[in-house]
Amino acid sequence: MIEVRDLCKTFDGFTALDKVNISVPKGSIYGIVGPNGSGKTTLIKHMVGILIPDQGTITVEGEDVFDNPAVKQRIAYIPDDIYFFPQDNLNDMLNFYRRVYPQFNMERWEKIKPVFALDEKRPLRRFSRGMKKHAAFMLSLSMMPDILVLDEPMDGLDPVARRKVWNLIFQDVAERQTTVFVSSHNLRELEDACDHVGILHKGQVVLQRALDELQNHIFKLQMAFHGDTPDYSTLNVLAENRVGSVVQLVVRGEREQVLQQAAALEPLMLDVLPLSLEEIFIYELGGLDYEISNVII
Amino acid sequence: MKSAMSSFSKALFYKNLQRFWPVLAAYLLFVLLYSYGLVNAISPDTVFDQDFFLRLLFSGSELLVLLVALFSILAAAPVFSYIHNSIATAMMNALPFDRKTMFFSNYLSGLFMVIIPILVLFLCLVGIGLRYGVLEMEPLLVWLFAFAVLTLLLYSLAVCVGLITGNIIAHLVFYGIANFLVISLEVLVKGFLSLFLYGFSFNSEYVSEIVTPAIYASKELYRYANGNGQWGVWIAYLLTAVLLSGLAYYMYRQRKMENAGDVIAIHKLNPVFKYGVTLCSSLAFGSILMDVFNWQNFFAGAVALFLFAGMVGYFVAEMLMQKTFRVWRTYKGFVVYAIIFVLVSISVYNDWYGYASRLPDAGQVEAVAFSDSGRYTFNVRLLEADRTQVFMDQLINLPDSLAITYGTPLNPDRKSAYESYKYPVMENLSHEEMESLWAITPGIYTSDVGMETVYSLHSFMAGHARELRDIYRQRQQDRSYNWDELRRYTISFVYRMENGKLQHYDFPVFLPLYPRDDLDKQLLNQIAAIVGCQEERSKLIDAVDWEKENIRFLDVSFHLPRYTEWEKKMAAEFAEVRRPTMEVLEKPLEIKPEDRSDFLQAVQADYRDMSDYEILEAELLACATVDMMVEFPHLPSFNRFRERAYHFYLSPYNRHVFDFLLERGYIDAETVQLVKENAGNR
Repeated sequence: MIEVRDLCKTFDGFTALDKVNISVPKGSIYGIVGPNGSGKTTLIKHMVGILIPDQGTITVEGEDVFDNPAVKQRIAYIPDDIYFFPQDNLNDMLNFYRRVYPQFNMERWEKIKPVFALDEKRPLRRFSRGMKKHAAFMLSLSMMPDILVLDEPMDGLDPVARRKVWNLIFQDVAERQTTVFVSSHNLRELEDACDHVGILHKGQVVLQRALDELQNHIFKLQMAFHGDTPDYSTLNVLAENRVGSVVQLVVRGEREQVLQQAAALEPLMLDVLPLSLEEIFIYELGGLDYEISNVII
Repeated sequence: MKSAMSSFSKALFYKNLQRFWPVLAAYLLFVLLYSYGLVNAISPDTVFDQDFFLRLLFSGSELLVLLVALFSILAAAPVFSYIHNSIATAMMNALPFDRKTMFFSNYLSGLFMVIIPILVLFLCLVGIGLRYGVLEMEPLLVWLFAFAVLTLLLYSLAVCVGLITGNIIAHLVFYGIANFLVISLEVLVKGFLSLFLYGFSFNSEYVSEIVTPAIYASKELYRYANGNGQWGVWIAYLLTAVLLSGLAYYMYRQRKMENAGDVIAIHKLNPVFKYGVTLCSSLAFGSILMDVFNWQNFFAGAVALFLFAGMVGYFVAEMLMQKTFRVWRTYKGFVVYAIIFVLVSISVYNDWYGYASRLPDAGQVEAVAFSDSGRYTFNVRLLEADRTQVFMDQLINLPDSLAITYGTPLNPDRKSAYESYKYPVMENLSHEEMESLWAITPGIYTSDVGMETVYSLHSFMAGHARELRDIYRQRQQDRSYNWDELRRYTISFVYRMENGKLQHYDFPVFLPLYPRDDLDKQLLNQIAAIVGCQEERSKLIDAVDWEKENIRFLDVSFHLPRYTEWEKKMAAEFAEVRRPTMEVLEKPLEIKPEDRSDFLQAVQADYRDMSDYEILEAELLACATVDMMVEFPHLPSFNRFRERAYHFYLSPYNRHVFDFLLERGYIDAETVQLVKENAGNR
């Protein structure tokens, strides 16, 4: 559905994106995660046609996004900082979006409206950050988009509102095969929502997989040995922790192969523990100069 | 193939009008007030003819040009304001439009807000024309074309400037600068050259006025109504407007939206901005500093002040671009600028280009205005009276043909206001009329002999330019001179060439009162030969050749001594002795009607008998002013030139005049003595 190929972008000599390649299948929810300043927002601004790439392409079903109204018509974008025309209220914005997006669905609008219960006549500039996000979701979902691009969409929303929004998104994906590309720092939330995940670090995609596949490629092994710990260099170890004779290893690789290699070490005890997305994020980036250190000030 | 409408979004257009309608409303309000003002200004004695209609159209051009310039930016800035805000630009550019549609929809909505008021004003003018029965469609369409082009040009400029920057404040400031950039630079460069380049005249013609549409339109627009304008200029303006809008579109297509917020959004233009600010700051702020420190005559100090001012501009530009105060590491760029600036200053100061040695082609000179002391500045306007306004009231012996043509009110039956005269509202003089003015004006030389004498002095000065320059600078700084024995002359030559263009040269010199050097002697003799040449004497004599019956009054005011408080105290004893004489001098001396002809004949005799050198000195040694009013009874009573005032100065060299005053008992010998002692102390 969405293909990003060799995308590069520099800002005054600073490389924001460096040969980024991403594939987002149709109907999937793709979560992009990465540290602050890793290039997530820059990538998203390219995907919705705001920025001109220095190199590379962004296509939707084979068609370029940039300067292509036909493709942009199918994309709804909710940025982290939402802009509405300062004088406008919700009705004004609704009228504007109806003129701009011919496929705008009033029936849907009427259905979504009670979910968030916003004052339609109050100037949008007087809305809180969370209320502006409500308004943006109402408008975006009523556009009947094929692609939803969301940059930190849940920032500023309370837990109930988050649930409402995710429910609406899931419903859209289920009913209309909408493709969702979402960036977030809330990995717990993404873990529940996404079926594909990419990790962006210093402008490069360091990892990109279906979430299931990702979780099947990185594990925490807990082993106990009698006497000295044998050499486990055959395993692709991302992190290790020893407490007495018990060793905890975060290992990357095919599950079956890793288990075979671990069994070959003849441990007294061998447990395989699942890793959360947050742990995967931390361990993957730990090998890329972005590890957690115990900072005391 | 895409239709034109596919590049236009009604949604964006309506949205802009919905958001920014107050701009349109305010402009319309001003336009309606302007129309009301035009009608309200019509006086009861107005003659409703074509001239009235032309005045109606063009007399308020300055105000209207100002409105066009102001509302162009007031329309362009809001419709493109989103590109200066990163959050707004993200939202707008995510909309399903290509950049072409975004640009043209916004561009046209802004243009709509500035062009509609012009059309409304056009309709108002049609209405006024019909109401008073003076509607002339041709000048009205000329008016519409001119203001439509001006609107398109200034609005496109405003859009273009907005796309160079990423900051709304910078957009407004840059637009103001862009409108006057070229002419301001010309003024600054001329100021710099007139300071350092010997022979260069600050008063030379402004070549950049034509590329400053706001100024050109407000000054020159009225000519087009009579078909006297340069249509090429307006066609060029139209093409420039199209070019600017094309350039703006190109910049929008290529714009890096991530640069919203930057002072210069097109980073390739950063060096242009930085060094542009440095140069302008150098010249403008440097000139102010020089006035403050009074270092005009101290070359090294002046250059240091220019560099200091440039340094301030350089680092301010860096701060604006980098958005930080920590820019000192970028000093290398300024060092390069400073080296170039110092080299240019030295080359100008030493005239490596031979500017002062150049002469106009003598065969192409039609007339020349010469001045030795900065007087006759009015003459420069007379040299171009075929394209600029001159005030004939100052010319005592104005030819009758001109007095009748331009002094007769349009409606002789009523007491007319000044504006009701034909000239100088809509026309300039014909070439023949202009020549007739040159023929009566002192300081303008058109005879072969006169022009040759002036050209000969200029050739002499050009041939000795380097020596003259060095002597001038040396005398300027040498404090050992007795300033009572040294006189400063600003010798200026303004040539009117056959193609109508003017060439200006100014040579300041210090000449001793009693020159000993050959160069000084030659120079003084040549200057004296010009001011005392037959052509000049004849004009001076003609200006005072009037019958006593036609002289309404003729007064002589002696120049009283001007003492400082201390000098007054010191001269108390002297003043006590001279008190009766001083009392005589305090009142103007009224020449009796029966003596007026004789008085003027004495003046004429002096002009004939004074040596060349005395005529030159007479200007510097003035000791009395003669004021007179002459009536020209053969002109109709309502002609505004029927009575003309004139004044001239007397000097101790007016021997015939002083003999006359003594002989007729107007003053005594002691008074004459005091007046002559006080000569030059005006």
